[in-house]
Amino acid sequence: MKRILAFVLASLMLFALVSTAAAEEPVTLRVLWWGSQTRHDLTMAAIEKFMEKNPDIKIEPEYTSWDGYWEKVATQIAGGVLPDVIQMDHAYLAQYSKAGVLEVLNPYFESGAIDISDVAQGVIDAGKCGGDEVYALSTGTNALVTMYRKDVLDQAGVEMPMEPTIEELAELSRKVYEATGHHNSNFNGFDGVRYYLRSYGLNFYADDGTSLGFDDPKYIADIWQGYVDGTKEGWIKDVGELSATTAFDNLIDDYWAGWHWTNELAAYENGNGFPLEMSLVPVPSDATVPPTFFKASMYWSINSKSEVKDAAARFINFFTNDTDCFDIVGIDRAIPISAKIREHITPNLNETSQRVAAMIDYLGQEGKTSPIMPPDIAVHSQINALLGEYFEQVQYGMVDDLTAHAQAFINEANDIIAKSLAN
Amino acid sequence: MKNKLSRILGKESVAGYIFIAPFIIGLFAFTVIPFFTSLYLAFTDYNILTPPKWIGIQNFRRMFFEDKYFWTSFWVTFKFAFIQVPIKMLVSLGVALILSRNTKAIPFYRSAFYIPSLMGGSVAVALTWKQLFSYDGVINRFTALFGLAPVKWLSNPGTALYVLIGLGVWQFGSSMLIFLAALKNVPASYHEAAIVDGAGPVRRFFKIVFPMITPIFFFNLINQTIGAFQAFNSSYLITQGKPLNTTLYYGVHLYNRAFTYYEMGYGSAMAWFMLLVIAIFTALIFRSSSAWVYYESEGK
Amino acid sequence: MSAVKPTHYGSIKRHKMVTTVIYHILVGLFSLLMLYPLFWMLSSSLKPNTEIFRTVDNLIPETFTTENYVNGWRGFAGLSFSVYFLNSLQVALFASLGAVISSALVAFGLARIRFPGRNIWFVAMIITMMLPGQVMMIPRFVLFNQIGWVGTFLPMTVPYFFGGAFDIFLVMQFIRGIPRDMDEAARIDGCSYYGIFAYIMVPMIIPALVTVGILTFINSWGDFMSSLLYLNTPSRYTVAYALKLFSDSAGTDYGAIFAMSTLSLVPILVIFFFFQRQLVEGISTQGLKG
Repeated sequence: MKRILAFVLASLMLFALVSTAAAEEPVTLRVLWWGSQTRHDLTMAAIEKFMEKNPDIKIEPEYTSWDGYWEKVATQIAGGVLPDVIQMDHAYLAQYSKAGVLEVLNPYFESGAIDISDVAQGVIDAGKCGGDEVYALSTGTNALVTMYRKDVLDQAGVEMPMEPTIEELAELSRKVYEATGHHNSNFNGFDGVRYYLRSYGLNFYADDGTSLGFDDPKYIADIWQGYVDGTKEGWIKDVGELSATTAFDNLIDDYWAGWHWTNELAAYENGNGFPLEMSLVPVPSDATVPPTFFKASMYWSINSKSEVKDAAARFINFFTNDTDCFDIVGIDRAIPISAKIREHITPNLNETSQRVAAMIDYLGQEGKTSPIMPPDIAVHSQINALLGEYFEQVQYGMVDDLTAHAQAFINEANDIIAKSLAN
Repeated sequence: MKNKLSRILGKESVAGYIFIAPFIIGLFAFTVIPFFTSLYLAFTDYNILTPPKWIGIQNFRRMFFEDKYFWTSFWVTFKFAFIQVPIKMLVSLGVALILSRNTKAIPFYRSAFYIPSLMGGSVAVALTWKQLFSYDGVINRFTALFGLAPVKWLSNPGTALYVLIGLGVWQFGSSMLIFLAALKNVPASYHEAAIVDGAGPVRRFFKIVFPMITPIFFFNLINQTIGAFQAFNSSYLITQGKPLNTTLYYGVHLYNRAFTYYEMGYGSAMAWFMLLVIAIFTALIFRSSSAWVYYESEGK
Repeated sequence: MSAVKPTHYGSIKRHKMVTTVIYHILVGLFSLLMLYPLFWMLSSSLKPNTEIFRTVDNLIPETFTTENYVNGWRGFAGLSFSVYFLNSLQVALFASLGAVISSALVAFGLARIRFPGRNIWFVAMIITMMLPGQVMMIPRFVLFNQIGWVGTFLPMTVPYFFGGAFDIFLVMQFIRGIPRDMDEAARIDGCSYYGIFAYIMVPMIIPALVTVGILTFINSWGDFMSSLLYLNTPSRYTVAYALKLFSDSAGTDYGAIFAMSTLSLVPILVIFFFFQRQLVEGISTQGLKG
C-alpha cells in the first residue's frame, strides 16, 4: 500500500517538474489570438521573424479557436493571468474597455511607439468607445458585402448590379427561383436591420449606449415583411425546409447569395467549390446614406496590467507597419490598415486576395461608405439573441401585426439596456 | 511498538479514514473552495472582468420572477430528463444483456455500440444528426417509402426536443459498459442452478440477474438523472435552443448567462438552484432504494 | 464459454443454432446503424473539402483524397498531431491510473468499513456530483493558478488521484453487491482491512475498476474545456483542443477536422477493445467461488 502511494507521489512530482520547465529570457511577451490553421502557421512564422529582429523579446504564443476564446480570456482575467497582447473583437470592445482590462493606446501613438502615420483616422477611430481614448488597433480592414454565385445568375439570364437595392434583389431572387429553383434569403438578421437603419442615418444603438438608436418599429417590420413576402413567393425557403447542406452552415450553394465579410471570401469559395462574386449589401431605394462601413476584422489590444507594455507596443507596431511581417502573413487578418503596407503587398497577393483588395479599394471611393458606429453596447449579445427570438416568431407565422411585434421588441430591448445600466 | 501500531491501524475508525483519506484530502484541496466560492458568487453581481459585488438575493428574485427563459428552460429540462432517463436505462440494460454473452464477435459488436458515445459531443456527431433529420435527410426519405409526409424534425417545436432525446439515448455506451461490468459479477453458477430448476430466460432475469444488478441499476439511475438535469451538449451544438426555445436546456441557458453574457453571479445562482432540484430527486431515489435495491453484502 | 452444455437434449442444440444466427443478423444490422456517424465521418475525411457538404449523404466519395490527413496531421505552427497525441495519452493515462487507484481505496473504505462519520462523507461526496461544472470553472482556475499549476497537466491529472465522486460511487455499488462472507472469514483468520482490500476485494472488483479506467480515459481524452483553460503553451495542447483549432468564423477546415477526429478515435477504440474483454460473463467469479 505504502509503496503504491510512494510511487504515485514520486511520479506526480516528476511529472510536475517536467511540466513546469521555465525559460529564462530578458523580456517575455505573451501573445494570445484566435484563428484557424493558416493563421496559426502564419502568425507563428511572423513571430519568429519578430524575435529575430528583436532579440531582447521572447514571445510566448497562445492560440485558440474562436470557439472558447472568450471563455479563456474571461477566465484568465479572473485569475489575473491575461497575456500582454490580446486579439480583440468589435463585439467585446465596449465591455472590456469599460472594465479597464485594456490599455489606452493614445500615448503609444503620440510617442511613435506604434506608428500610425500611414493609417486613416477612421480606422483609428474604430478603436474608440465613445471618448477619445483608443483601446484597440485594427489588424485589417473588412467590410460586409453580398457574395453570390454568378453561375446561377447566368443560368437564369440575369445580372447582379454592383450596388443593388432591396427591391432589385427581391426581383432578382424571384426570377432566379423561377428559372433555376435556387433559393435566396432577404437580408434579415441583426446585420440586415443594422444596415437598413444605417441607410437612413440611424444606428441600432444610441451613440451614448443608453437605449436603441430608433423608436419607429417600421424599420424592423419592413425587413420582416420582406421575409414574409419572399416566403409566400417561394424564393425564401420556409423555416425548417433547410436542406442537409444549408443546415450546416451558411454555405452559398442552394442559396445563391449570402452576406459575409470580405475576408471570408476564400473560406466560402472553398466551402463548396463554387466561384463567388461580390457586390455591395442591398439598400432601400430611398436610402439617404450609404450604410456600408469599414470594420476592423479584429484588433490588437494591450493588457492594462501588463508589465511589458513597451514590448507589447513594439509587437503591435511590427504587425502594423513592418513589411517583413506582411510578406509572411499577407491579408490573413484582412487588408492591412497602413497605406504603405497595402501598396507593398497587393502585387504579391493571390487571385482571391486581389479581388478582396479590389473590393476594399472600390469601397474606399467617395460616397460608398459612411463612418462606423460606436462599438456595440455590453448587452449586445443579449439584444441580438432577443431579435433572433422575435424574428423566429415571425418565421413560424405566429405574428399577425408585424409593427406591433417590432414595437414589443423595441420595448423589451430598451428595458434590458436600462436594467443593465441600473446595476 | 510494531504491535501497537498495527493495532491502531487495525481499528475500524482508523482504517476507514486511511482508506478514504484521498477523497477527504481532494475534497478540501480542490473542491471545497471552488464549491463555496460559487455559492458566494450566487449572491453577487459578477461580470468576470471586474470583482464581484454583493447584491443579496437579487439573482434569485430575478430568476423566479423576471427571467422569462428561466421557467421555460426549467420545464424543457424536466421533460428531457423524464423522457430520456427511463428510455436510456432500458436500452442500455437491454443491449448490455444482449452483448453479455461470450462469442468471438462480441468485442466488435460492443465497440460498434460504443462508438456513438466515444464520438461524444464532436462536430461530426452534431453534423450527422442534423443531416439525418434535415428536411431532405435520410429519416424523411426512409419514412417516404411508407408514404409518410416529410417532417421538419429539428424545426418543428413539437418534435425538436425528441430528436435531441433520441441522440442522448443513442449514446447509451457508458451506461451499457457499466451494466456489462455488473452482469459479469452475476456468478454463472446461479444461472446454472436456475436452468437446472427449469427457469426460462425471462424468469431468470427477474429472479436472479436483475436483483443482483440492482445496486448498479441504482447507480446508473442516479448518474443518468444528474446527467440529464445538467444536459448541455446536444442543444448547444445542434439547436441552440431553437425552435422557439423548445430545446433550451437549463444548462444552455445557464451557460449563455454565465459566459456569453458574462453574468457569472446569475449563472451561479442558477447552478445552485439546480443543485437543490437535483438533490431532491437524488434523495427521493435514495429513499426508494431500500425497497428495490438488493445488496448481497447486507443480505436484504 | 462456461454457461450451459445440455448434452442430453439434442433438439435444443438445433434450436440454439437458429437463435444464434438470428442474433448475429439482428445485432450485426443494428451495429451498422450505430456506426453510421463513424462511416460518415470517415468518408467525409476522404473527400476534398469542396465536396463534403455538396454530397453530404454520399458515403462513397466521388474523389478520394488523403490530403485532409496530410494537412491535418501537419497541425499548427510547426507542431504536428504527434505532439498532441502524446500529450493526450500522457494526461489520459495518468488520469485513469489515478481514478482507478483512488476509487478502489475510497470505495472500499466507504462500503466495507463501519467507521464514525462515514455517512457524512458519503453525502458530501454525492453532493459534489450535483453542482453544474460550468460555475466551478472560474473558481477552480483561480485555485489552480494560485498553486502555480496553470500551464501544466497537473490540474487535468492530479485531482483524479483523490477520487471522483462518480467513480467512487460506482465502485461502492459493486462492492456492496459482493457478499461479506469472504472478508468476514478473512477477518476471523486475523487478516487486516488492508489485506482484505488487496487480496480479496481488488480481484473481485476488477470489472468495476476496468470500467472506471475506460470511462476516465475516454472522458479525459475528449476533455476540451480543461485543455482550453489550463494549457497555455502550444507544445502542451491536447488532441481535443487541437481539433477545435481547425474551425474559425472565417473558414473551417472540416476535412481536417474529420480526418483528425477519425484518428483520435483510434486510441480510445483500442483501449476499449482490449479492456472490454474483462467484462465478459463468468470467468473470474467461477474461480473464486470454487
